[in-house]
Amino acid sequence: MLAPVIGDFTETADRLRRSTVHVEGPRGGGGSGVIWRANGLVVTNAHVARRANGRMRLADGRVARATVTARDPQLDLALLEADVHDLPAAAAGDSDELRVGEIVLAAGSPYGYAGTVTVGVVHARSSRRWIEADLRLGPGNSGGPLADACGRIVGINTMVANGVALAIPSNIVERFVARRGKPTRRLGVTVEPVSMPQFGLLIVEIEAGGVAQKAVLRVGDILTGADNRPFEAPFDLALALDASEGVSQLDVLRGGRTMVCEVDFAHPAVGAVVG
Amino acid sequence: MSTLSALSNDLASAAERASRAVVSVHGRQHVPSSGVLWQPNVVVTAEHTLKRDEEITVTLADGRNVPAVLAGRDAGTDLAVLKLDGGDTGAAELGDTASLKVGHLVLALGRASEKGVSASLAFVSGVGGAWRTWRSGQVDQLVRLDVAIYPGFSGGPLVDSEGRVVGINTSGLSRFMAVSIPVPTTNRVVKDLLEKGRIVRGYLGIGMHPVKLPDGRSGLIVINVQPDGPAGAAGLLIGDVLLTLDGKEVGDTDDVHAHLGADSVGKTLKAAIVRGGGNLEIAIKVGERPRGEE
Repeated sequence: MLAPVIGDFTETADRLRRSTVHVEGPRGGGGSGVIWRANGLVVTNAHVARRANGRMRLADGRVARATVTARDPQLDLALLEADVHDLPAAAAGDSDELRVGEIVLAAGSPYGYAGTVTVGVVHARSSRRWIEADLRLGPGNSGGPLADACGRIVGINTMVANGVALAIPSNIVERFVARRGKPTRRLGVTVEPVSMPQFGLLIVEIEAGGVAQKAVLRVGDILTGADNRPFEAPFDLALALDASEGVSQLDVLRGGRTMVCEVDFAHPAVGAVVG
Repeated sequence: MSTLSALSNDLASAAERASRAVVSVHGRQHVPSSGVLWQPNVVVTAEHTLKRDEEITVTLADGRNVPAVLAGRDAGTDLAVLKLDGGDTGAAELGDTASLKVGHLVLALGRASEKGVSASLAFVSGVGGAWRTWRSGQVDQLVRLDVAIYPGFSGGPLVDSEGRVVGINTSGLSRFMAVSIPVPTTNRVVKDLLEKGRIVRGYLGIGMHPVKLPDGRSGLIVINVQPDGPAGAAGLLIGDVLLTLDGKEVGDTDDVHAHLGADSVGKTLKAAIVRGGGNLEIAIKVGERPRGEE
């Protein structure tokens, strides 16, 4: 049993390394990136792609020029365009399907050592924003791929907190790529997190002419969830708007009463409180 | 499907199966620790993580938060037992710790947050026979782990590839490594703590230090005597050198502890000692170790 497992490990790690690039940074530093499309589209962290232009080194030793085409510091994602084509693109997995305990592999350039692969397991799935992995990462792994046992990309390695590796789920990355890195839809509100003790986001300001205003949301409303999923962290509102297909059902607490507010991003004027 | 994917699925399934019996234990500030439903409504956790004896609560896998009553602590094995009134809680499926070998792939589970169970990949890095912890607890088998220790890890189960619990993990018994308390030891501690609320151990009431006598014999020199303790009552004095207990040589304090199991209380031990250059034999009636004394 062990020999075939090791064989699969080697094969998966090898494939993963070929789809991983080293993004050069100033003073010999840098990070990693994932080849998302064969035509030269590479995904990395925003904190890796700080400059508009740079260089990346491919696994086969080639050096390519990289242009930053999109950058979202809040999501910590960026898109790079390489000036070479026919690249070995990685296959993306479904990060929502990840189970605690399953095997994951990370590739990248920890401490500048390009082509390093580390192995661990999914540690926890307690937030929508992050995949938590029991896996060793070092500085330079940022922006590189986290893959499942089949070599499918399930996340972008971004940081380490309390010894736990944190990766941005691939489904967030897929949507980021699909909208070519443009900012997520905006509700046009400023919110403050509150605890009642259930988590909510209190609207403290509404932008004139924004979607929220047209959807008759008011200052003092508390957003508690969207599309039947309760919010648990401040970032969940942005994630919910990102994930919804045009229309979002927002759970609103107003004056002690719960209601559902439908927000139609395509036709914001018709948004209305429906329940 | 590749063998690697099959292995990955098996690990995730093992984590899922075992996770139903993994709880979080709120007995300290900040990060809660983990615990295992050893029997229905009986939770085992790591003793060092309980900073209080009252107002302890347990969060079950289904999210319910229920009050827990401390049945007892055993600092020696770093185990504590809590009783719940949580209805149909279920319990862990227990495995065979003795089947673990060096190199085995296992999982350490924990529930340090309300948001679900967490898993860490672990390799069994060392196994051995019975050992005594630095807190003088008797453990049936040594299981050392190569695992990353995260906050809230202690008290969680070690889970084999079938999802069975094969130990209770703790970072409190070794400075450098995580160890797992095996199932038989935990069973014994759970039984004693539920029945008596404490772990009964024999007690002599002396402090000792290994010495070598000029004639080459070795023993333990008595450096401290509890005046009203069992040895003090039998007439043992500071400066006496203990050579044998019940005819067996004692070279270090572990040899003495070996005579002080739960069934030793009330028995009389014959102690061969050297006092002032002469040989002497005295009989010591073993007492019960007072609570709170290691």
